[in-house]
Amino acid sequence: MNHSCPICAYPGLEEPPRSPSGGGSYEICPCCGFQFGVTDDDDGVSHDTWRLHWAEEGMQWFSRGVPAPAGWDARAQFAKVSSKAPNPPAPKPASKPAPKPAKPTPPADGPRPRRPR
Amino acid sequence: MYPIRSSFRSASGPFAVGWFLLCLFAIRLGAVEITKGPTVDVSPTRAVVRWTTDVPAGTRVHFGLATTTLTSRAEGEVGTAHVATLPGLRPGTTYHFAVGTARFMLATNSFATPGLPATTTAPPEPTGTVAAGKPADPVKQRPPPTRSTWANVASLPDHFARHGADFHAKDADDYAAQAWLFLQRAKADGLPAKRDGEGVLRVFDPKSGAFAAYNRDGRTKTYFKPGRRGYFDDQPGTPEDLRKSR
Repeated sequence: MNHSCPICAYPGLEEPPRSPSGGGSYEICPCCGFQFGVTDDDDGVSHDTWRLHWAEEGMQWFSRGVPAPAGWDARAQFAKVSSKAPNPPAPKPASKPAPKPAKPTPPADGPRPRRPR
Repeated sequence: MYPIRSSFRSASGPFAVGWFLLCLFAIRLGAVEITKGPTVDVSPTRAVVRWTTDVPAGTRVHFGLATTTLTSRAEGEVGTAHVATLPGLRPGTTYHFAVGTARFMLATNSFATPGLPATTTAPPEPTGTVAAGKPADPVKQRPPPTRSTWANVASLPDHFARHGADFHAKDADDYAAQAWLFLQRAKADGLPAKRDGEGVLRVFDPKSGAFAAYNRDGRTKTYFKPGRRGYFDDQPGTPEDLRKSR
């Protein structure tokens, strides 16, 4: 568990987001909810778009099965990638499982968003 | 037999007929025959034995590690459809058993419990409802426990929340079970599949649109229906004939 999420900088991913073969890990980041190889390759949502959306939604812990680390500080974690996101709002407490964030709108020139689930 | 004879003498009309039928039934109990089974539904520590008889009879299974030591016993209800659960079995062990009633043993056979799921690289042993002594039909197999089929169990609730609706899964375990069954069906039907350099197997069903990825050990990484046409084609890996890997 030494792999960092390129979207939210969570350092506890089980696998690298991309394998040497180029395939996504299919892992859902327990912190921000991005699924590597699906959110990008199927839904067509970029890392930047998801990061911005996650920040705007309050940087809530995503996973229902993986608990947030003790003393998890979303703002401190996000600072590692905050240069890519404008003025993130204050994070909400992660005491309760966060609902699944709505799919962000992809760039205008990007592929169509995945159908709603 | 004294109470029966006594009652028969004093009975008349419908009662006499009733007693006559009862006696016939009692006589037939001695000639009970198996009409179907026995089949054994096995898991690492438990087995459920089922069979049917031509007439109502008791349900009893004697079982053990050798045909000469069927010292354990399981029982069920009286009827023609018989079910007996054999608890407390050892994983990866062959058991011998005899089925019948309290008075008669009607058939004998054996079964082997699957081993417990390995924690490293061994693929999960399939379990299933099988006719004793015959190989299992992959399509009718019963999935092993979720912990032995899903790669990262802690992440399963998230995968289920996101993709479970694709398969109308009723809960996370059902979703994981469907993913495991999808692989069994893919092997049986030869669905399109490809494996990459890390051993990850990707399977796609063009008909249903279902896609799944499995680790080298056969455990599920994800299972969903891509919304983008050509998603599977764009995945890395070289084609693999799953029917040859059965």
